[in-house]
Amino acid sequence: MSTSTEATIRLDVASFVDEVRRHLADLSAEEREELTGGLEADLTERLEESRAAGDLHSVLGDPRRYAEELRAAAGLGSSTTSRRSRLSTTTERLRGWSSASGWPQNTIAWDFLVPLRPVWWVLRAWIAVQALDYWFGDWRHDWIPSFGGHLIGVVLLLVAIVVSVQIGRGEWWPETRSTGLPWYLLAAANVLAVVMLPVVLSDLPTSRDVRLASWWGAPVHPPTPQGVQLNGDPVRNIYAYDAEGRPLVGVQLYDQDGTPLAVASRTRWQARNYLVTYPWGLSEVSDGLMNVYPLPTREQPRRGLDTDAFTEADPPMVPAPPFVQVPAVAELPAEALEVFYAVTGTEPSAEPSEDEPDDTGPDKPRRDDTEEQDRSNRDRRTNQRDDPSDRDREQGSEGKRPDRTTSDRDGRGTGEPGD
Amino acid sequence: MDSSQLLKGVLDMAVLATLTAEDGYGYDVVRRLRDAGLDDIGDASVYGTLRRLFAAGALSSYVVPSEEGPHRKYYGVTDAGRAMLKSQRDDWHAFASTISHLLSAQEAAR
Repeated sequence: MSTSTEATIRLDVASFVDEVRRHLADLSAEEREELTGGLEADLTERLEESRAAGDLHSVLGDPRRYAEELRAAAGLGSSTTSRRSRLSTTTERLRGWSSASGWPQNTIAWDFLVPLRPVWWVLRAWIAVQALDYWFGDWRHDWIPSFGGHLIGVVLLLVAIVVSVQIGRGEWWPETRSTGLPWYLLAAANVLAVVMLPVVLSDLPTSRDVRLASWWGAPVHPPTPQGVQLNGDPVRNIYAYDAEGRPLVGVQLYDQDGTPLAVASRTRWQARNYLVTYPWGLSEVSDGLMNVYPLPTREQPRRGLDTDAFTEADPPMVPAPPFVQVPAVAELPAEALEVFYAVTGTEPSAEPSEDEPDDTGPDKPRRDDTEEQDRSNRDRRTNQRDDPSDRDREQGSEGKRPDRTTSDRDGRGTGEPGD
Repeated sequence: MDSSQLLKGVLDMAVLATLTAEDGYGYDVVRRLRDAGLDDIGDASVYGTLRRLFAAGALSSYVVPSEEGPHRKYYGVTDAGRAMLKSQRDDWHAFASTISHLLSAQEAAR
């Protein structure tokens, strides 16, 4: 036998024995040495005898099976060991790295992850089919790839899962020798799947809600935004004008259920400062009201509300209105407001009073929420009386309250017989 | 039944008997078993059996340096191994005669 053949045999035997040892990696070093010590010499002789030099695998078969047989005959084949011996080269190698890192947590984490490998097998199959759908399918991308049809995506997905799981189990892929091309191909495919995952995921939400709605029969809502919204955008301030188009100050807004129409108290970063929107009636004991408009704002270096803000040198100011004056609107017919006036007791009169209804108006019991509203009005007025500047500002403005303005206007404009 | 299934039960005995005749290394034992007619025997099964018998104290081992190539690990039978073989041999003879008797009786009845 030539020396070159001997060298080939020796190399072949060494790689085969290496692989057998790797499949016995879960055994202690002593056990492994006892099992495989002298194996090189035996196998070399075996090869020389069989004259099938060059490919030990064809003579002795799969190193994994060989290791299993060795283990079983030696009485070391427990269920856990045989299961671990089925781990691919990649898994064994990663585990080796994690234990070599010197951090026991790494090994613990790795041992935790190993049973989850089937999850990855299914996930990578899904990613692969999603990626195919991404390149070859239509523009719609979904949790179940569609490929423009209904069934083909599902079928492809199932096939891909079967293939991926079989590869994961080491069934449909050549023995993953560390030096072999199959191992590199599989490793590259796994890395590609990891890279593709965010790409595939980022493309999904475009149609996810629609599809989920059709699957589950209910749309999936995004988190409810806080505060008053207009067409999906938050409203930061509100400017009210009376029927004649004059800007109003101190308008309190409620919806049909009596819920305050408050804008979300938000702080915006603006020009190295925070633009903070302040509520009306802010004090040390009160958080104030965010449904009284227009709301004052202030640029300040700090986030959040400052209860002393209105007494400081640069108090919050109501920003200039978008319009000084808006066009007047045509008035509603008196009948349209009958119920409103009957309940609120703000019958049109020449000298309207805020708190006491006119004698001429029907003195009907008020609704609870109306009383609440009145109470908060009173509270706010009390606060304002403490601050003369506020009162001045309010008196200087046109039409302090919407109901009075309306009554004024009604009193002048319609001239009801009751007057 | 596949003869390899039958082999599993008696492999210990076969290996012990082989080594009682003369000490040997792994592949040497495989070759002698094959020469004796056990063609289906797997290399790894024999090596594993050697290891198990060694761990059980039935075999002793010693390494013989080789001038060309790796060292050889030789196995020899210990006293405990010889006792094990004797007891297994007695069991086997009793078992084999029982089965033979059973099979021949059934054949005669046919």
